[in-house]
Amino acid sequence: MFVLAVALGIVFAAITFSAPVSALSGSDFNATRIIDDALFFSPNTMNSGDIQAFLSAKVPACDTNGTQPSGRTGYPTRADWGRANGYAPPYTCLKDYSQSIQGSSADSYCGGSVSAGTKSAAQIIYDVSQACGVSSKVMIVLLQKEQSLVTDEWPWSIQYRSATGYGCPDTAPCDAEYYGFFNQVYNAARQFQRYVKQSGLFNYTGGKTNFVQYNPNAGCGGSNVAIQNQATAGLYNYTPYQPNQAALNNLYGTGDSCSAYGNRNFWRMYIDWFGSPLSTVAYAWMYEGQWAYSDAARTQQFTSVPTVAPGEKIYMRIKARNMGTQTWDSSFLRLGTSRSMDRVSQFAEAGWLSSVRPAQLTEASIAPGQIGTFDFAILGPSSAGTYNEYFNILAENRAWLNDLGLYYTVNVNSVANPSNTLNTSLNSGASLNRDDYLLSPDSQSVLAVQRDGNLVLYSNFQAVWNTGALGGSTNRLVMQTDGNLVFYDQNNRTLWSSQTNNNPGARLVLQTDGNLVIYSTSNAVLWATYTTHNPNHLNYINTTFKTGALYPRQSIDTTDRRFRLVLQPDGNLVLYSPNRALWATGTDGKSAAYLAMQTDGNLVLYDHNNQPLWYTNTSAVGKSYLAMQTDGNLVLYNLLNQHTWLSHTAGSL
Amino acid sequence: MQHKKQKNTKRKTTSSTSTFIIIATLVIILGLASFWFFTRHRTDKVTTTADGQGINLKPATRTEKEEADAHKDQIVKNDQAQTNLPTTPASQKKQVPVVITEISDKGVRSYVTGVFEEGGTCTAVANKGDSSFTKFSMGFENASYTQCAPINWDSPLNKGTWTITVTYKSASAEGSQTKILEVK
Repeated sequence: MFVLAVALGIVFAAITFSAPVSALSGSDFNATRIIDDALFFSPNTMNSGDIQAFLSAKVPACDTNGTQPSGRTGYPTRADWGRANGYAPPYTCLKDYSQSIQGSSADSYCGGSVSAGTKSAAQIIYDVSQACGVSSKVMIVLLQKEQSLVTDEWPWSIQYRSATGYGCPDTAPCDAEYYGFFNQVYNAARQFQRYVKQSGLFNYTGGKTNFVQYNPNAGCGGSNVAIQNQATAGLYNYTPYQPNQAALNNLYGTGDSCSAYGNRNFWRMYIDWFGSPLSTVAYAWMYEGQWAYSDAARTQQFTSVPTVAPGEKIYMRIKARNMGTQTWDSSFLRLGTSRSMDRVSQFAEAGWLSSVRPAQLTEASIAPGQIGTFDFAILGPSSAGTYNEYFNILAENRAWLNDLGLYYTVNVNSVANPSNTLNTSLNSGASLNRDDYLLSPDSQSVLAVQRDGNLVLYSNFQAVWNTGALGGSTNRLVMQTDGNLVFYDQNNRTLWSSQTNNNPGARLVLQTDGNLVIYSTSNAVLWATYTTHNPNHLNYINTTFKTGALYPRQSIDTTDRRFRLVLQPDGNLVLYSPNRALWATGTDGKSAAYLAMQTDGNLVLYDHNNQPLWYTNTSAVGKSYLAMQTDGNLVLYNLLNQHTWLSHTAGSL
Repeated sequence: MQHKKQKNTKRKTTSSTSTFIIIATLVIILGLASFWFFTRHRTDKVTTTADGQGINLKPATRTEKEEADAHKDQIVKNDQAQTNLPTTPASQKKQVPVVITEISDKGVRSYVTGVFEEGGTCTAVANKGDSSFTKFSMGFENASYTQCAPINWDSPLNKGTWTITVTYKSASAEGSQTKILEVK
């Protein structure tokens, strides 16, 4: 019996481990559900060591010098054939590949940043997966389906250059702006998140039926596909074709002239390497967004790192999509402190469920695939500094959900935020120091005390009046109690004055009509620049910024007023769509003084110490102008109307 | 003889038993070795990740290697196709396919292949008899093609047969597609 058992064991083992694990068939392909969201948008499935082990296992021996037979007539070795096509050895396999990268900062789509440095391919895949919330397995399969990089024993440089096919149209060269392994991996992952977060902009969305072609050739036809989830929609948005029957009939080979293989191969490779693409996880979530507000009604949104004073509150909102098989219920679905789990938070306040549970689900219940909300406030702790506060979702007494590394960065300041009062006038006895300014109520006119010693009145970024450059030692502009407006240097010498003394109590006003006026206490005009606009001024929209300075509260807008670039009083330069902030310099709280369109072509945001806080690095292009375009893109053009910098926000809403 | 015969039979039985034991031992050793090999093989080649799924750690299959090799043929083919592309005169734009993915009485969604760029204009025209509506949207880069931002009609199209045409135009490319829409 024992012998028989052993013999059977041998047979069983031989069958189990020698034969293919499963006979995958084209009939198993479901065009409506290629992969589930819970697996696609799960960044914590492999660590960098797992990824490295996987890549190393796939290619045990790399043909670095191309010494193996090429299999092509007339070219004995791979090196011979590679060289003939412009790709000479040495060849670096993906498991050995590394790249020096600049990294990336967080944005609306990839909520985490990627640090700079020289990194292995495995580390890059892991870092991007973490930053953008897309599974490493998905990124690995993408690299294989686009360039066969995972199993290639002698990859060519072009395969790394366009590793995920991002920016590579059919029948045209790839866009050089997206060249490079990191660039490719990052932009592909970011794009998959963009399909989710801006699903209304793209062709395919989960829950809708759309026509999907079989091939770029429209004559090959296609069919309507009732796409079941965002991950499948994302795959079709990235590669807009489905396999035809011929491609499915020969799953590991080619079909016919109307076949396309991208999404078939993604599905097949994922299963071959990582198992089923369909999730059976009960509780899982996907990040949909996070916001911070200065008010409880959540109308005043922080567009960059939120700042709070000790003892004050700021108000958070997190949106999450139910990616599991179970419905969420507010009785058990909660937000908890994480990293480490159940950590007592120093930001806890009275509205929390406990010091480790900021909030429960706002909605009563959320079905699989739908989006739920968590609202809570945080209380600034006593110690000033910058904090990263981590959270995760849990089904109380059941399970913690997948940890996506959600966190808020919060600045805790011991000083009050800058005042939001709008200085449109200078009352008797008040003064403006160097870099200070008056702004008209419509924000179109500015009286600036400039560093170059000039007192200048700008209207729509055009200088309309000035005192003339009086030297670099200017110090302050004073509306004296005797009624005289005086511009002093640092030694208290008068550089310029309005000569309106003997009018005690007089005040200086910058009006909406663009006129700068000194009024007596009886409202008589004592002095004015007489720079009144034409009657159409109130309808005037600045669509471009061509010269001079743009001060806090000033903006440039599209003619339809849908998009606006504004330098906020908090110092952040922000591009807004009708719905949200699309782009920002992230310079709030850094004492920004003004944005300068320099004559060398560089657009620079300066602080009050005349230090650059942010710039476009375009100082070599010569005179330029900034345009707020109706497509939502913010573009810097040179005099040949060639763009020299852009915000990459076209098409965003 | 009888005694002798009995002795031979005993010797024969002893010999058969020894052979059986040797074979059985060999089978057991082979079985254990196979068991060890395959279980070790399995440990080395399959691992499990945080999501509970397995990872196939076997070296690339012959098919996967062949696919990698075939991909290089495709790269060479693409390189040659790019090199041999007829130069489009400056005055002539590249003709690109427009694909309409969704039309309804509310609007139209479409994309443009063969070009990856920002700033082009997508124009949707709906015609039915004397009725004609035109709406525009911007084209923008998407993965490997140009996406037309969705176009919504100002008001739903009324009952009847509509001809919907989406045209794309940019500094370098142009193309269009027409589809028929039945509004019931």
